[in-house]
Amino acid sequence: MGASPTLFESGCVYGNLSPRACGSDLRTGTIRQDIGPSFGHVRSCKNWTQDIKQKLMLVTGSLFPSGAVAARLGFLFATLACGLPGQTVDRGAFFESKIRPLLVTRCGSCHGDQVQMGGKQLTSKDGMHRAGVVVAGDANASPLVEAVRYTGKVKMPPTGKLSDEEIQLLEKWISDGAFWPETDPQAKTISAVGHWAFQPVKSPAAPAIKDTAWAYSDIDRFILAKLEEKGIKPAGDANKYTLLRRASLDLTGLLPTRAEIDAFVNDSSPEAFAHVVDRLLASPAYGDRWGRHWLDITYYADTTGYGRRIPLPEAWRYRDYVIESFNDDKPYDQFVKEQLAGPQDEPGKKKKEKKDLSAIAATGFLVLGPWSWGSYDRAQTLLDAADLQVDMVGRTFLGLTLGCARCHDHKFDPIPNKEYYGLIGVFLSTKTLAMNNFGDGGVNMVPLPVNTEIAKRYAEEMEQYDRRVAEAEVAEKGYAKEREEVEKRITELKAKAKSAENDAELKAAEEQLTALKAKSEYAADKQILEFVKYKKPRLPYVYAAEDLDMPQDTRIARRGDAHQLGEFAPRGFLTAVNYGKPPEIEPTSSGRKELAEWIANEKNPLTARVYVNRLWHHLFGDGIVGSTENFGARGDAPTHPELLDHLASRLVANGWSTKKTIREIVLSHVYQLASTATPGSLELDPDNKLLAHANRRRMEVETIRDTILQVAGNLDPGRGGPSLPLTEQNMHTIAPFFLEDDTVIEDPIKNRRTVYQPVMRNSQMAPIDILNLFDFKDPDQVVGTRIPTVVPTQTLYLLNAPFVKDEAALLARRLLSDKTLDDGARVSALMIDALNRPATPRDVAQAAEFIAKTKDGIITAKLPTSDATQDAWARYCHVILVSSEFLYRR
Amino acid sequence: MRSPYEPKSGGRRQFLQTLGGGFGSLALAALAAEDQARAAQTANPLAPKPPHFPAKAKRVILLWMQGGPSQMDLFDYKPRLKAEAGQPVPFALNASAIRFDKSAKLMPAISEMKRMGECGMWMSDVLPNLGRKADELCWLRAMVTDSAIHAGAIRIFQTGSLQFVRPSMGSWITYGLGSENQNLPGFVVISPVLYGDDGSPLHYSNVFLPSIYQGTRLGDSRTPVKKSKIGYLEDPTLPTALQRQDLDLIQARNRMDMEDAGQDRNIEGLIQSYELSFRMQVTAPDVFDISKESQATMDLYGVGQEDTDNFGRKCLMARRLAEAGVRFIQVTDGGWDHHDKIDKNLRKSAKGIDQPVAGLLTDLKARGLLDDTLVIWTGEFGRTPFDQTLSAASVNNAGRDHNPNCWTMFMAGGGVKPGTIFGETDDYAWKGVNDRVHVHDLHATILHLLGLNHEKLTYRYSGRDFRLTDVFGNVVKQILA
Repeated sequence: MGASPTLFESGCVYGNLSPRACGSDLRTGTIRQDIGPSFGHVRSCKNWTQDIKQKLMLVTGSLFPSGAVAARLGFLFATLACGLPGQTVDRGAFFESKIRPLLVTRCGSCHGDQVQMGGKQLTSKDGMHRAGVVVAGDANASPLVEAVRYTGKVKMPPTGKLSDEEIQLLEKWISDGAFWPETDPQAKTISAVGHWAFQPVKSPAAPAIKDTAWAYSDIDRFILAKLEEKGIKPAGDANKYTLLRRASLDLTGLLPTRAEIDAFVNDSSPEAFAHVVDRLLASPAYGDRWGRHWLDITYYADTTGYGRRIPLPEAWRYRDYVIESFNDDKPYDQFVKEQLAGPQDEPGKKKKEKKDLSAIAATGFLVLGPWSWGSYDRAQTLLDAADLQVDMVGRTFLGLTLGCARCHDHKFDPIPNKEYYGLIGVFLSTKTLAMNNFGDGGVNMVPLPVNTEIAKRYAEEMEQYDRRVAEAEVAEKGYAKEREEVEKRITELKAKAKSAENDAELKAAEEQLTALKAKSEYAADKQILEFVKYKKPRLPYVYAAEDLDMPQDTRIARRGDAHQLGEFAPRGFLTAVNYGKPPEIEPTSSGRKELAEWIANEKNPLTARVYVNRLWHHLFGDGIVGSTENFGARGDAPTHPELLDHLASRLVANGWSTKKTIREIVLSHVYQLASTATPGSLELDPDNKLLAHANRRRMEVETIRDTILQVAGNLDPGRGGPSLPLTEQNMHTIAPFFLEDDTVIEDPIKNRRTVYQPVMRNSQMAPIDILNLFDFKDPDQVVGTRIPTVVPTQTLYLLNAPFVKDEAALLARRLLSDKTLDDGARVSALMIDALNRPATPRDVAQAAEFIAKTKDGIITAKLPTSDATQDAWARYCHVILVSSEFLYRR
Repeated sequence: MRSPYEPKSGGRRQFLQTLGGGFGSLALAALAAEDQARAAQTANPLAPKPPHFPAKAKRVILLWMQGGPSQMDLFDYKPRLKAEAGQPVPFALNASAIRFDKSAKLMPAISEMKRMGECGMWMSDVLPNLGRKADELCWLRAMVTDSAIHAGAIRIFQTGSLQFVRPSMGSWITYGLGSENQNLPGFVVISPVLYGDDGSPLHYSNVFLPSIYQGTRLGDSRTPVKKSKIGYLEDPTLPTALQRQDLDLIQARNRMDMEDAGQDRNIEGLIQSYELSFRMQVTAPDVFDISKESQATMDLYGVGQEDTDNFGRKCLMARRLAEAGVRFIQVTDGGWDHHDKIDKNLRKSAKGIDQPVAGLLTDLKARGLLDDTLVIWTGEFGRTPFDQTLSAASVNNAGRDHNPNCWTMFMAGGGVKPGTIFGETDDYAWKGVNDRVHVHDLHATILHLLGLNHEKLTYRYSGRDFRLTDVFGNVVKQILA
């Protein structure tokens, strides 16, 4: 078998493998420590390759028995006819007008000048010849025809079948001898052809629209132009209550307060909404929400990824770094660079002066992931971690499914296997796993700078620690010593002659022994000494990436197997994303710094587009490109390509400011529309892709939980800092250390916003079980788009979970405790607090009826209650908190 | 049921009709589904679906012996193990088996084995009750899997994939066939191993299949099933009538919300989901409650006896769920990972399941349920014919390591040939030599027994069609009745 993949190997038994169907969900390298090369997917690739090769051999053998077939590397090549004189004119014109354009536009992006997937180039005569996919004169025997017909296992182009007409053209061309002229007049134009996402970002002029008064900004012009084209009339404006609730939830994940509602409703100035938006963007809650959005496209969690919950007590530093970066409106290009390459040099400052704590934590982006240093197969573990890192970098920053190119060239995007390993080399030259079992799950740790204050605190903590160890030792050893003495006494007493006195003494001694046993077993059981030792104070550390001392290129690992190494792949970037000369990797650099510069570049066609699309997605519920992590050929096409480019160029023009970009979007007319569709619009645009009205959607689980706490008056405003509950009860403290499965979140953290709760990799802790039910993001995956499900386990939770009941009871108590209110006013207060709108007469009447009936019911059924009124109100509040109007954002 | 909180004019039906268009009719279809169980498959993803072809088995009870039961101690009789006991391993332990200690010695079965029944299946005397069932069971003796560690072997057995996150077998089957009871989940998992290296909710997860097909969990392997409850299933503080009153107001407000803010498929879904939750809340506790069973039935399963009480309860529950029309029921017994003290611990494990499993088979048969219920008993892999001395040199402490090359499992009921012994292993039960059945083949066969073509049971996700068997799997025709 040749070392490099062939065209046929780069096809796939499925013909249309999904974005990262094979590797995306590779959970963790350590899981496959024992399976070596037996990748199911690859095995299947190989089988049918064999089939096709046999077929090809038969076909070419029969047609060209006299040596027109060239064999190389055990592989057979068909040949191209050169065309006979006299036919040249017709065939030449046919080729140039029909065939060459077809090959260039439909095959060229993967098999063209720039990229030759599977080593095949179909846009030049020489390339076509070497590709060996055409049997001149016999269309039916040509693998190319079989591929475009979609009749065989290889189906090309993978992005969609050619039209019948195009297929017939190719068949005709081959049947007529596959003529290809000697000169290639258009050979150099191929690079301009290709997938939209690889083209430079333009700054398109806003289109003309009929209803010019409707547009508040260019964003609206792009939107309205499409709607007018389709003949769809946009919905009316959302009312002020709805709009304020929407903007508050979207920008901060919290509900507006009564005062905020009053202020907005009574502000009739034209800037009223702009003031609201500025207030929301300035609030720390903005970072809590948008920081969490970012964490969704990282592997962040507070434990390692290897079955057991090995705690990462410093992981919160990365989480806080992300949240504060959003609150500081850190320019996106800087944010990208810091996460890949750590603190950036500021002009005029020396490296050492500017190492601020938050930017050191930034490469937590790379080191926190579904891996740990506990595997049998270390080479494979490192490679698997690097794979997950490359895949994350691709999805998160570039909207590319790079991981697909781990075992073979990418099936659909022009990403060769070799370039993938060029990127792997960057991450294998980076230390993210410490490669030992010490420290926290083997994740690389970097000390934070120590000042005198920290040093002093550390010294004090060490002193306390020594004391605690001594105490715990006394407890453990002390009991043991005492026990020995008592046991000895019992033996002596037993040996003595029987007497009442002796018996009594024996009995007392035995009781003492039982008590001692219980005490010492308790100490041993609870592993008190081990726990004290586990909590040994240490100087502050952060999980961060470092370059290895000897960065180097890596070799292609065949089929992703770290033990089957092929040729070297020089470290470098993607040739398909070609916007100028890429940075040269310095000899002492892993290449992360250069990779960061290459990604966070305003000319990179993907970076800004992918990012503004994410912002749009979070504000409208759908991206302009629906597949937020895949801008490749298999991703969704943009619904508004010019708008996407407009936003991307605005982001750069605004100095990569996230807040400014969000502000521009939120202040558009389209953001402020009502959620009710205009008549007829759903027939023309059932999925509301053109945004004729606002999308209604269920709030994310964090928002559900946070707003329930908020309405109940029970939300703790505390932010930041450690959250892992590393207590005696929660920790298994004999190595390997891990959090017990029934770990309980500590009280001081419990009622904080969800983003500040610890994130586990297997399933979330019982007090925040709601996260396990309402589509919380799987920490092991890059998830830019959460898909909300509606299933009975969720509604059972809403009906019966103690969390909802307890908060509803608190809410009822709060409403009832205000004796100045009558019941009607209480309903009004509830509606304003929870639904952010005034109560309707129906709400009030319905509440009165329900509360009266429920109270009766409670009394009639003789339910244990200290206050039937309170209980009935609690039921009513509960109903409001679990109904669609509360759970959904309009 | 009409809610007292409905708008006074019209009713729910009328309201939905007035909406017109696809959305209203969808909602109406959902209402019809409440009345007619089989109607409106589009609206109700749990509604029963016809199989690809007629088949005997309608549901599955998977008795999951997590850890890897030892084939040569229970079923796969190897006289040479006895004759050569204590001698070095006579076959090569290949590179992938570096985990094995070179000093490992061949180890005989822990107990006597006898041929049982007409079929003459060798069985250990630690399974006396199952031994009497030998002729009713269909034996697979040369099972093979791809991983020698629990995490991988469990994953491939439960999901068909060693390294990728894929929907579980139970989710696939429920997706393929729907469920016969609209008041219960279609896929129930009793006491799964949930945590640690070898447990994960992913083993019964729907992954990309619609979430209605995920396994509903009762308890976990560390909690006695007696004390287990399905999460949030019931609110013991309120009588049903009051709960219904709450629900009526919730649903009325949901509909008001739609009326006010316009069409929304998600809120339709929420309304349906609330109805299903409520029905589950009313129905499920009874189904899981075994206290209404007769003493004779309890005794049959070993309920009330110390060694068999927990697993007996689980099996009895499984029968009640099968009877109620649940499509896929998995019952887990952990603790089969006998690395040490196998002589003592395997006996204990075997005793814990012997009577309950035999009782389940007897009971299913007596109720006429065995014909259309496929019962499967297996672990994730087998064990080594040589010892693995973990803690001490004493024979009493010896155990066996993992062996993915072969193990023995059995099936019974729906569509399998009773008294069949399929597959042979070498002289040491180290590797299968004849009629090997890979996990993918087993999956294909299970689907076939349910009337599903494993190549056609596909789900399109992220641009391609997925299957439980990926690109593998051959139906084991020889064991079909």
